[in-house]
Amino acid sequence: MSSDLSDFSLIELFRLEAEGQLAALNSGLLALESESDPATIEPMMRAAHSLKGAARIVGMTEAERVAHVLEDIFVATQTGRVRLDPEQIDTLLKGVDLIGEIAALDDSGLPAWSRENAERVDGAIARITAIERGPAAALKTEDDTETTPDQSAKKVAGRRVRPRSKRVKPSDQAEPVEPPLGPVGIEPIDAVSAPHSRPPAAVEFQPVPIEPATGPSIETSDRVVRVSAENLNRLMGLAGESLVEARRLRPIVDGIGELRAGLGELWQDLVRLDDATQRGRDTNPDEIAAHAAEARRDVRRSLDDLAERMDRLESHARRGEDLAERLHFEVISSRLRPLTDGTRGFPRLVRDVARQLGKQVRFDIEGGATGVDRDILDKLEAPITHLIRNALDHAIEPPEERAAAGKAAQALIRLEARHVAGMLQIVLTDDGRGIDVERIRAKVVERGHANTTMAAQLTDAELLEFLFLPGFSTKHEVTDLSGRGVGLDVVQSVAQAVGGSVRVTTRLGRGTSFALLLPITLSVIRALLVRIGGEPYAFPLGRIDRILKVRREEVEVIEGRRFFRLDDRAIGLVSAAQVFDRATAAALEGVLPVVVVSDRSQVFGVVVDSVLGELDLDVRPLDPRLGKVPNINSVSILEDGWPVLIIDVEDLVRSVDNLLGGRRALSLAEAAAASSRVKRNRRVLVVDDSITVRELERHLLEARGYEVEVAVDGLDGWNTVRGGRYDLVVSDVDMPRMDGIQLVTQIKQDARLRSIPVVIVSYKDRAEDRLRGLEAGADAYLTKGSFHDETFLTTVEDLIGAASE
Amino acid sequence: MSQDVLDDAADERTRAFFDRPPPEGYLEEWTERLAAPDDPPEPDVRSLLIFRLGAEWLALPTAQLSEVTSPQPIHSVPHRSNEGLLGLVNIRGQIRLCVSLHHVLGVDPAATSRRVTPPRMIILQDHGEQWVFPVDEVTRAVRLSGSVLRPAPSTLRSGINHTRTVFQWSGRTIGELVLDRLLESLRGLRS
Repeated sequence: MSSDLSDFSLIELFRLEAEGQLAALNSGLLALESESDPATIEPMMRAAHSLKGAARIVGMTEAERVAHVLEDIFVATQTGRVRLDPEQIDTLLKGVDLIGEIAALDDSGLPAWSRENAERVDGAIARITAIERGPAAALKTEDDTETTPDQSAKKVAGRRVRPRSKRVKPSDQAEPVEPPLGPVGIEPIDAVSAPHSRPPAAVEFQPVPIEPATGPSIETSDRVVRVSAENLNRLMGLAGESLVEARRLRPIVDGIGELRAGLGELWQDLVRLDDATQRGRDTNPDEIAAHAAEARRDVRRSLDDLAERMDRLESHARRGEDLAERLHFEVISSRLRPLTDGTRGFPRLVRDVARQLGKQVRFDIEGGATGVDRDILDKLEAPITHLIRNALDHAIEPPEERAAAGKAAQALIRLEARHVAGMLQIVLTDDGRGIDVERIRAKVVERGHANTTMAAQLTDAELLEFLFLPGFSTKHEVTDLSGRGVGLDVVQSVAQAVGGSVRVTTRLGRGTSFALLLPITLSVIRALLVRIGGEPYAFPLGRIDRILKVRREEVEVIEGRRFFRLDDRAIGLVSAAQVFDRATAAALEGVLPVVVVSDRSQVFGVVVDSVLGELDLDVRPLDPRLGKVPNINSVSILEDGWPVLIIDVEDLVRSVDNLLGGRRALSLAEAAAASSRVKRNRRVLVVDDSITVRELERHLLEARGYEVEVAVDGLDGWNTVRGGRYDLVVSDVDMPRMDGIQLVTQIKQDARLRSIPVVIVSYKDRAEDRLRGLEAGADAYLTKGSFHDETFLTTVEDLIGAASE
Repeated sequence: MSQDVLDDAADERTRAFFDRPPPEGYLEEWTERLAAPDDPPEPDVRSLLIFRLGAEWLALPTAQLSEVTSPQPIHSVPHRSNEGLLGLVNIRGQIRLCVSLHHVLGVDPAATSRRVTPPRMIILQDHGEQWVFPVDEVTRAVRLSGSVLRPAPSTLRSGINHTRTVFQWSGRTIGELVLDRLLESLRGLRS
């Protein structure tokens, strides 16, 4: 990813973060006006602190300075040195507004604004600093701003972060900057807002999480998402309909009551008839006939009644199902955003890179209005960027070469999106030189993935699969743009992470096409329902290889490990109850229901109690209070009301691997993959409560090929680090719930985790802060300034080496 | 709305209905009632829900209870071995954490007294924080004045405990749980 693009998204991220933090400051200050409670000051301190750091990263020096003095005041207030009166709170609120104003500025408008408003900013800062020094100091002149020392001068220089990546920066800097590529659902805020304007109104309604314990739930439930008004109207219509429909059931239930009464009468008839026959000879035959006739009549009536009720019940059921389906569809579509929301940066990317390479390329998007789940859309940007770069760099020929091949000088890269059979298909096609499968075949042999005989038998499709192996690149020379070992495997892992797949087709000399097949939504998955330890669990269907019944006698044992044979492969068997730490149900006997799961290098058979069937589940997140539960990634509800846990297959495969002590069933392709697995990319966990910093670190690390996961605070980080395997943890110090020092301390006290190196990256650059971090056990202590040069990345490489050997 | 309702005659009838004068004395009565000062609030009255755990009778403030429901199936959470954390339950389509108050308060679940009503689940809600716990029986909510509360026996006042006061109700001694302490203990359960 070019530094330009990451800058764009960083500013957007900053804007997003500022929105939340400013809202917290606003409502915090308002609350402070009514009562001075230390509990309200603490979150404001954090908000100002985070704003300061985030503003520094995006180069909004003025916002950084204002946030800095605000933070000072809050610190002073918390320690009791300063008591705020309404007038002073007013001053602080104006400072908050000023930051809001800066954050709302259009990217290109910032320099002009800074020039025009320098005095106003200095004035506001002076007034805020004056509060701390008490009434006497309030009269001092405005240029007396000692709380912002040389920092301002230092930072004006680097208006934006420019990670000194070796990649080429495609854009011409003198050019006017286009509207930034925004994350989903966030539009650039209009720059022409009035001075002293409040942040957008919607923000003001967000409550500040005051009690730390309620923090997480409030944060998640208050996440604002964009839903079209039309969509919401239809939802309301459906809600109304379902209310009416639900009430229609009542008369049917009453009718069944009547039916029951009718059957009661019939019972009476039969009893009378029975009595009459019992009396034997002296019974009048007419009497029996009369009773029988009555019984027949009652049966008739009940049957008619029943038929009518059933008709009504059936039409109710039909309407109910239809309604539920429409409601479901509507809710799903409320989560969809048009693909173009995530592709705004691509035309620019293609133009810039093509120009730099001296190639002529046209870029078309088809089906830009295709709905994509917002969660998926977020994840698509990186892999598509990657594919486009690949196409530009490797596939598209220079104009002369194209002309020689009889092709138009201008090449075409086309991005198409459509819904196919309930899946989202995204196809990136180029009309470049295509991929030479014979070269792949040669490389497969050269790399020792297969011998010559075997390689000769591989089909084109099988050969193309090798492109997705980490580090398997057909381009010999490493260029600035691509081919750095961060390859198509990244694209594949993104697709797989959301339950999709990638397929590549190519014609030599004619072009290549990558097709990503992804679920339309992440919120509903097709799943296989199984029972484990007597309770329901679900496997996402897309992540299952096979479902089998294995007979007891087919199970073999070597060195105490059970396995069975499937297509000439030995597949290790493990009991799901054992993996999930549940009481083992019945001993393995008779026919074992087995779910076969795999990741790129391993295949396992998981024995479950029973397989219950296939169904759609709407996925909900696990309660954040539980932290990361191993092998589980989400939860849903079954028709009968039972909660069901949805299995994280990737995690499960890792756990099984651990359980079996790393013994795996290996086949040819698996062996190849396994050998590349040794070279798997190193994984880094980034823990920071500021989304701006988090994403910056992620961008920097991912550009170097590291796999990055993020956690939003210390506690989240602690849960995450325990739940996965990481080669390195990068943590901030000041975070809610658990700070970085505590996190480091806990990691270093844990027997299993203590060997993981931890890098602290903080704004605090005093010697005692550094000492505190290192004493807690951190392996390195960096300041956030280290992003501006190579220090951060060099430190990471020193500690754990390059992303992959 | 169908067409016939909107025809002119119906329209007129509707208007006549809604615009009819109020009955005699109606306005006066309501003016008087709304102008009257509010009844002074009873001092220190609290509303408590009484429930049973094992052999113990306890009470929690109703303001913090969002629902009492029939028992729902509890799905255990793998790798979370804390006995107090029972698992996940479905409460009206929302997945909630279910905990064992028996475990938190050290009540023997086996000890039962004569059951009058079926077991229930109580949903505790405080500032967006929700906990669900099964109880053996819920009797009713009561309103009582703070003056009937007595300090809990001194044996309960040492160490960590959740009951500060007790009261008599229907011939039983009922312990009033201190919400904050209870929440604190519940939060301690999660990992």
